[in-house]
Amino acid sequence: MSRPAANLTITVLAGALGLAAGASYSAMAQGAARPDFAPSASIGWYAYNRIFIPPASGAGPVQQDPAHPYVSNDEFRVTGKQPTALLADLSAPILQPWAREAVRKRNEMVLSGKAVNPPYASCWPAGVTGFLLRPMTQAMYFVQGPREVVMILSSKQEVRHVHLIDQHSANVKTSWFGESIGHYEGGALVVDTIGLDDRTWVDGFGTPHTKQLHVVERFHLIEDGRVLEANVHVEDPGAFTMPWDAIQHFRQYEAAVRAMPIERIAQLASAPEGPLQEMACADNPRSFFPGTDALPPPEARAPDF
Amino acid sequence: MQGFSISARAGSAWAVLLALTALSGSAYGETPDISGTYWASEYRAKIAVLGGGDLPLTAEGKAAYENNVAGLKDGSIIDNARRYCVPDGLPRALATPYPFEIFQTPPGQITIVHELNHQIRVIALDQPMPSEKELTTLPFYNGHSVGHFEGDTLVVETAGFNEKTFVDGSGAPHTDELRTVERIRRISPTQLEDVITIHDPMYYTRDWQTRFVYTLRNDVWLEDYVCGEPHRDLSSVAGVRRP
Repeated sequence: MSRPAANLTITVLAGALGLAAGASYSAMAQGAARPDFAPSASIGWYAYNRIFIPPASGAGPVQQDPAHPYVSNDEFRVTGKQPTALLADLSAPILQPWAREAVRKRNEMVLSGKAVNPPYASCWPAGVTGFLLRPMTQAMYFVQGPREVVMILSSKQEVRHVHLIDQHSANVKTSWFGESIGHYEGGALVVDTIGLDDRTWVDGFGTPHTKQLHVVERFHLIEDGRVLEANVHVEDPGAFTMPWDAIQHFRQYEAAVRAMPIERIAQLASAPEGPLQEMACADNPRSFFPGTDALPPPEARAPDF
Repeated sequence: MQGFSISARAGSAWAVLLALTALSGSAYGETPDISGTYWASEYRAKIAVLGGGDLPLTAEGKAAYENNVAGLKDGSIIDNARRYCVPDGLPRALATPYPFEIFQTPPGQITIVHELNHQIRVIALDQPMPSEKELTTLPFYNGHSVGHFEGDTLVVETAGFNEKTFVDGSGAPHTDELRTVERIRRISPTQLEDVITIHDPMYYTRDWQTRFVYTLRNDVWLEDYVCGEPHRDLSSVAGVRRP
């Protein structure tokens, strides 16, 4: 009767009564310019990098300290170079003094050799814009419904809901992923997010934000649909000295696999190919980074109901 | 399907059920629209057998149930679905007092997104069940699901469960040989029905069913759900008791 348990816990996923208060369908939501980010269930998207790409001009995101080049685990798998930690360039002009101090403290911990684990490593939500930097070793999937687009990170089964309407709620409730509304425009999905909880980081450097954070993302396909580009505009007068822009690229899983020699595929820390699979982040809640300052995973001391 | 009952423990009856459900949906014309946001109006911690009566437990199943109930009471067994918000498993996930959404996309897939524990169920349409090897090697909390339309009904077969979940909130047990068949359909313009058949011959003397009904609530937006934090008001759901 008993079956061997897999060590790898891929535990792994009209009659409308009316829309939310004051909201209405965006005409653009149904427009012909709708890009298809999920032409089949097997199409997932992998981020190229854990660091945002700066824009060609204008204010950009915090970058890696050039004195300490970043080597990702994926680069290590291909090149054999020693992986390094994310370490912020503290000269980033977008940071207000208190935000710079927060980033500096994290830098200090990294330089002292301490393991600095981000909250999402312990199953806490990545928030926005952090969400865009997460689908590195497990794909991000889109579910594009007529009223809503759902974005799913397979690795933690994190979910963002983008409502295809043209106005935010009158009273936006603060939450981990905020309130996202969207529409299709010129071949892009444009997502406007406010109401973001200030417990998340906007990047992997520990850059903080306040509840004033306002993010506009434009998701569109480039390179004949093989790459998904996200153009990100960030404003937060509570944390940043100026609005700034960033870019993130995601490769389509199937396209990447088709173009890659088989010996290289083995070096990717990729999820099994194909559709989204179930994964439970807190499947082993007691073994997250013991002996470090990492947060424990979310836990309900009393059952919710 | 309703009223369908299998008294034999043998797999032959289960095979009959699967054969009955294997009819191609294409024979029935256009794919029915069951998409939308749904929310139950009542919650029961203890599962109710369709047709009444107690759970048809085998002696081994009864012992497992008693062990679960005692362990949950004295703390030696943790209900991880409530404590750490891992997926509830079937059929417990269907008893959720939180809203959930059904998407009939991407092509070839039904995607069910739950608010509770941000669980996601992926149902591959018109595909064979993964091999026994895959089901055994990669068991999931909510199992591996394949489905097809049969008239107005989405028929979902699920297998490949892990043994970390309960059948319900009272600790009713299952083994990793659990297999389920759900028949999901709109029973009115604003109501969705899910009748699920439970097949687990080690713990149950016969296949048995339970039924859930949800109300279409496209006016409701799913919220973020993080374990241990305050969540939405469930006062509209009868039977919910919060500590």
